[in-house]
Amino acid sequence: MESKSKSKSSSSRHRRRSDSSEERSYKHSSKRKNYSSNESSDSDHDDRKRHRDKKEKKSSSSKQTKTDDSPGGGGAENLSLSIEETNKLRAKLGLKPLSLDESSKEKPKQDETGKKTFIDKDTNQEFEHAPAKNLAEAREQKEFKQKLEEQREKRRLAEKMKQVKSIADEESDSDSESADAWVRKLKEKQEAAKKAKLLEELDEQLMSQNEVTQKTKKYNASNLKGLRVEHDQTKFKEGEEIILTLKDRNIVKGLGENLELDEEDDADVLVNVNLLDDERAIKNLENKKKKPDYNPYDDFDEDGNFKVKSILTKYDEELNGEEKKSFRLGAKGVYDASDDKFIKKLDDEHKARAIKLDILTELKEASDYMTTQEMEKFKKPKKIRKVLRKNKNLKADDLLPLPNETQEVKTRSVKVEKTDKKPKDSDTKKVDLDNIDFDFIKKNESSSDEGEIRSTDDESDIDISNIGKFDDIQDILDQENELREELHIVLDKTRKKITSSILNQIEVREEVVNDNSQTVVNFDNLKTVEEMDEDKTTLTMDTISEFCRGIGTDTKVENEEMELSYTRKNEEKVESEDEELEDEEFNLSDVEAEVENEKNREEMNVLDEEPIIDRGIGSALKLAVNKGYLGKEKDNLNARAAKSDIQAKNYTIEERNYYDIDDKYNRNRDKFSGPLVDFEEKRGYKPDIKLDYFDEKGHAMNEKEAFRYLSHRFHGKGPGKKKTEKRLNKFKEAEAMNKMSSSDTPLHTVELLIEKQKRLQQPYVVLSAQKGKQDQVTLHKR
Amino acid sequence: MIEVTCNDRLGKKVRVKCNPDDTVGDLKKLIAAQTGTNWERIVLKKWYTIFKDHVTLADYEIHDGMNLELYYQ
Repeated sequence: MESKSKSKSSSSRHRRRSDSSEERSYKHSSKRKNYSSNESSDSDHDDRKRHRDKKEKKSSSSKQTKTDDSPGGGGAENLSLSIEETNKLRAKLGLKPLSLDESSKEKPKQDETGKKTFIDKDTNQEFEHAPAKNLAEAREQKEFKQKLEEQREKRRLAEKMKQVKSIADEESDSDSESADAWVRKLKEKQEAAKKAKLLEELDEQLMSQNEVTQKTKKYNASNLKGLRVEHDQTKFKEGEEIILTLKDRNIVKGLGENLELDEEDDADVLVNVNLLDDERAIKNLENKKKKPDYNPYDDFDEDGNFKVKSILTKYDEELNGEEKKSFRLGAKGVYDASDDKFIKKLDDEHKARAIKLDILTELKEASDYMTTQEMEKFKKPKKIRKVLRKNKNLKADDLLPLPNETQEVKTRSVKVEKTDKKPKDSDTKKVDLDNIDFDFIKKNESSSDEGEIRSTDDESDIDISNIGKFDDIQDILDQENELREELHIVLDKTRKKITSSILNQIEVREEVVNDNSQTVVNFDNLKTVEEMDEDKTTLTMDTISEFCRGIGTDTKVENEEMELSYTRKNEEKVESEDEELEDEEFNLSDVEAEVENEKNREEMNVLDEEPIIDRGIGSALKLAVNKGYLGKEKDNLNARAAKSDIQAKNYTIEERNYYDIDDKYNRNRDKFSGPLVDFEEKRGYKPDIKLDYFDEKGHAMNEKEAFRYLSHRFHGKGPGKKKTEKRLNKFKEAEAMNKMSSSDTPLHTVELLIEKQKRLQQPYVVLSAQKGKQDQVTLHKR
Repeated sequence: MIEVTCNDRLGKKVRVKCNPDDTVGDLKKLIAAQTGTNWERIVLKKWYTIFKDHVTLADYEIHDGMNLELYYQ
C-alpha cells in the first residue's frame, strides 16, 4: 500500500487525495491495531494481522480493499478497486481501460509567451482562457490607429507635393532647356490661338445665318397648329384667358416607363400650371375618399356610356401612367368645340330615347301608418245617399201631398223609371213591382219632403246624363241596385207609416163593425198594438211584438206587399163609414190601382217561377235567396235601421229588462239566427224543457254534478287523481249496494242456514263450538 | 480517470474508478460488479436527478470524488 502510494505520489491531485485517504485508513487500522493490542485480545489481533499481511502481500497486484469503518459511512462497507482490478473488470464488461495519461489532467501550462493554456482532460484539446476585453485599451488603440492614419496621409501628401514642380523649379527647368524648345512652345501656343479664333468665326457665321432666318419668321397663332393641350377642353371657357406653357419633356427620348407614350409625343405639349395644380388637388381628394376598388354597379361613365372593363383596372394608372384628357389645337391655334357640342347633343338624344329601367327611383321608407294623402286615397268618397238617410223621421202628417207638387213629382218619377228601365228590357215582374213601388214612394216622399226628393231626382238626372259615359252595363246595374235598395228602405218606412195609420182606422172600424172575420196575418201580429194604442203618437212594445217585428222584417218584401194590399182592402170597406180618413185616402188612392194590378198578377202565379239549378252555383244561390234559405243581409240591416227611427219614439231604456244575459250583450246575434217565418200554427206551444246531463260513462248527473262537470270542461281542468278515484269508488260502492240483497249477508249465510234447516227438517240449527267445525264443513260441502 | 463514491445509506459505500467519458450505465455495471447486484436494479441519483444510462458522466458533470446516491429498484 505504501509502495503504491509512494509510486503515485507525484501523479494527480486526486490520486494524492485518494492515497492520503488510503493512508489514513491504514493509519486508522494501525491505530486500531494498537488499540486492540493494548486490549490484548489475541484472536482479534491475529485476525487483523492476518488481514494486514494479506493486504500487504497483495499490494503489488492491488486488490479490492474493504474497510468496515469508513468515516461518515456509518458502519457501511466501503468497497474500492485498484486501477488494475478495475481495468480487468472493465475488460470483462467490454469497456476501454481507464485513461491514466497526465495530459488528460487539466493542468495549466506556461507557454514561452506567458499565456496560460489549458488542456481539456476529456477531449485532450488545448484551450486558453480569453482575457476580458479592456474597453479603455480598445479606445486607446483606436486613437492610436487614427493618429497613425493621419501621419500616413501627411506623408502621402508630402510626397505628392514633392513631385509637383514649383515655379522656381520650372524656371530652373526652362533655364536648363534650350532656347529652341522655348521657341517651339511659343509657336505652338500661337497656332492654337489662331485655330480657336477661326473656329469661333465660323460659329459666329453660322449663328448669324440662323438668326437671320429666325428673325424673318414671326411666331404667330398659326404656329400653334398641332400642339397638344393637356387639359380637358371643358376647363376652357370662352372669353377666359389662360396662359399655357410648354410642358417639360425628357431630354433623352423614350426613357423609362413612358417609352411607348413618348413616341407620339413629338409635338410640344401645352399646360397651365394652375390647372395642373387643380387637377392634382382633385386627384388627391379622390384618393382621400378611399373608394372601394371594385364597384360592380359602376358600368357607365358620367356620360352614360358603357365602360369596357379590363381586369384589375385599378392598376392601369400605375402601369401605364396617368391618362390625361387632351385635345389638339387646329389651324391657327384654334380649337373647334362645335363638334363636341354636336356629339353631346347626339348623346343626349340617345339617352332620351333610352328606356329608364330604374322604376324605384323614389325609394321611400315604409311606415306603419298612412299619410293623410294616402288616407284620402284610401277613403271612399262619401255618397250623396247619406243625405237621404238623415231626415227619415216621417210622420203621418207628412204624407199630405201638395196638390201642385204631385204632378211635378210624377213626371220626375217617370224620368227615374225610364232610367231604371233602360238597361234591362226583359224584366221580370219583380222589377215591375219595384218600379211601381218606386212610383208610389215618390209620391209619398214628395208630400213629405221636397228637398229630399230633389236630391234623389238630381241623382237620377245625373245618372241619365252619365249613361253615355258608362262603358259597361255592370256599372249601371250596380247603381240600379243601389237605387233599388234605397227604394226598399223608403218603402219599408212608408209601409210602416201606412200600417200604423191603417191600424188606427181598423181599430175604429172594429168598434163599429165586428164582422171582420177574415183576419189577416198582419192583424194578428199587430193586435196587441191595436189594443194598447189609444192615441196615435205612443208606441208600446212588449217582447213578443219586438220579436215578431224582428222576424217580420226578415220575411220577404212580397209578403209585406200582400199584407199591405189586404189592409188596403179592408180599408176600402171601412172607407164608407169613416170620413176622417179622407186625407189618407187621397194619398193611397193613386197607388191602389197599381197595387191591385200587381196583386192580380201575383195571384196569377203565386209561386215565383223557380229558377233552374242546372246553371251552376249562381242559379243555386238565386234559388236559395228566393226560397229564403239565404237572407239578404243588407236588406235586413236597412230594414232595421229604417224601423228604429219610427219605433224609438216613446221608448225608454228603463222599460227594457233583460231576461237573459245574452240579450244584453249579444243583441246583434239574433239578427241571423232563428226561423225566418213565424210559427203561426204553434202559437200556444209551450215546450217542456228538461235538461239531462250524462257524464262520459253514461251516468246521469244531478244538477250539482252537472255544474261541476261543465265547469271542469269550461276551465279545461279536471279534478285530481285522488278525487276521481274517490268518486269511482263511490260509484262502485253504490253499485254494490244496489246489487246486494237486503235480506241476506254477502256470503249468503241466511240462505244456507235455511237450507240446512230444510235438510235436517228441524226448526233450528245447532251452533256449538265442537260441532261448529263439522257444521261448517257440512256447510261448505253444501 | 475519476473516482466516484456511491453510497446507499444502508451499509454499502463503493468507490469506483472510471473514465469521465463512461456512461452512467457503465458506471452502474462497475458498481454492480463491485457490490454483487444486478446493474439494472441500480438507480443513481444526485438530489432529485436520476441519472440516465445513456448519458456520459462528463455530460452530467460528475467529477472526481463526487458522491452519488445509490438506490435499488
